[in-house]
Amino acid sequence: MIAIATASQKGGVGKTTLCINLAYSLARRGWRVLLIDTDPQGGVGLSLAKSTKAREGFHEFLIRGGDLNKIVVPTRLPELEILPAGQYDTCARQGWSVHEVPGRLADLLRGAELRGVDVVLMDTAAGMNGTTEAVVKACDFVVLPQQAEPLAIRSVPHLLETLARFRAEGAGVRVAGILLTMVMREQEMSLKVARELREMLPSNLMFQQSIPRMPSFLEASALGVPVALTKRNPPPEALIFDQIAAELEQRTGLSKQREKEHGHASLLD
Amino acid sequence: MAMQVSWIDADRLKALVAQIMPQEPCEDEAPQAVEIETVPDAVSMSAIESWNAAMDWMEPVTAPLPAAEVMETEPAESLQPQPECEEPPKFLAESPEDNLENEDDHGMPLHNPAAALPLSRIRDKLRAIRQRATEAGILTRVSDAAPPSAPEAAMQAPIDVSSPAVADPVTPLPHTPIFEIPLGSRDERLAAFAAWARQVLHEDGGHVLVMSDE
Repeated sequence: MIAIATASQKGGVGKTTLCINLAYSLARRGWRVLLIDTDPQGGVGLSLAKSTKAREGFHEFLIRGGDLNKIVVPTRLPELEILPAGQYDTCARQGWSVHEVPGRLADLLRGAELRGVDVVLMDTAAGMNGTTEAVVKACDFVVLPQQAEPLAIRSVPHLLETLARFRAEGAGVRVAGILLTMVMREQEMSLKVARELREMLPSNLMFQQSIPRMPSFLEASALGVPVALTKRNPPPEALIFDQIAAELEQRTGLSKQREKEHGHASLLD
Repeated sequence: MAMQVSWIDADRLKALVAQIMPQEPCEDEAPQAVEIETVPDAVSMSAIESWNAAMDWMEPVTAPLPAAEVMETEPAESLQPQPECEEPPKFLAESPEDNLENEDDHGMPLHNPAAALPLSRIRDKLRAIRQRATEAGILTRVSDAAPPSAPEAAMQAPIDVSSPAVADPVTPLPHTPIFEIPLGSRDERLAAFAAWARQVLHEDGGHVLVMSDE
């Protein structure tokens, strides 16, 4: 099992959209995926179902631990399960010890592994402090969505500096890649930002695929589904996340693992 | 390159990237795992060949101990340094499984070309066990004996720990069980050997490390 966090300094860069759609794509590609919402805003739950607002979830687990199996929410896709954010305000009133968070996160990941999960995908709050820092440090990989606009891009050095600090502090988390999001193909400035970042950073640090800003993502949020489910047959933009999932499999070694297990498939015999 | 948009200092960025991207081997040319040949592979041999190979394991008591052929690793080429990556090392070529392997006893992954150290240690330990068995007179050639039919046959005589012969490294033990490799699967043969070794080593507080290369 591998644990992957998404993280960014800036809010509103599309982390939750990425997490929901990426989790769906990975699950469709045969991995057992647990999507965990660690963001107090509970964006994952809000995006997918009204009922998750009242459910216990990640923050309750942070406070008292317990049986992960009782708080995981299944989806109609058997390979995809969700752990919603839970009742952050209630939990915050009770308070939790910062020092206990790493241990609880380790318990959480162990519980996921016992459930047979292949990939834990963790959506985080914007910024790199508090719980988000602990979440990123607990993960094997971090995906860094970067909005393709000047102000967001300027936070990249700060973000990398923070990750360098994590490594210096002994965290084993590795960067799966920087993923350009909300690219406006009709806006020269947005394209210029994307080009600059690609020119400055090594290619293996950047996802080849980027996520454009498209109305269909709004439509998916309104319907409470991944983009692939907005139409009977997945629309072209849903394939963007399949491409990202495939890249992620390679970048994290997941595909290697599967090849080791199954080898290549033959079309006929 | 003009940086009117991002305002990022490319040099600073490079330095940060170097900090978060450790040097990792090329994925395509990752060193292969070194396989430790613990017992002959019955699947790839006929029954007779398998038996003969198993018997080769047993050295005469008086023969000098050769370098542990039984635990021979793969041919030398597997330990040769792998060709260097022509491109910059893949940032994420390392798989999570590799991490697990990194956590072995010596902190040296078996698939690493530099894994000669743990392998040699393993070989030394096995050689020491073998030597002890030879000195105690329990490692004998059994080529003349009839092939055993079951693992139990190998363990029929328990060691008499009160016997003075145990303390004498030269005199063979009268009740020392002879290990006869049973016919059967690799797992069965390994289990039989482990049970025998436990029995033999128990009296002096020895421990048996059973390793499977699967």
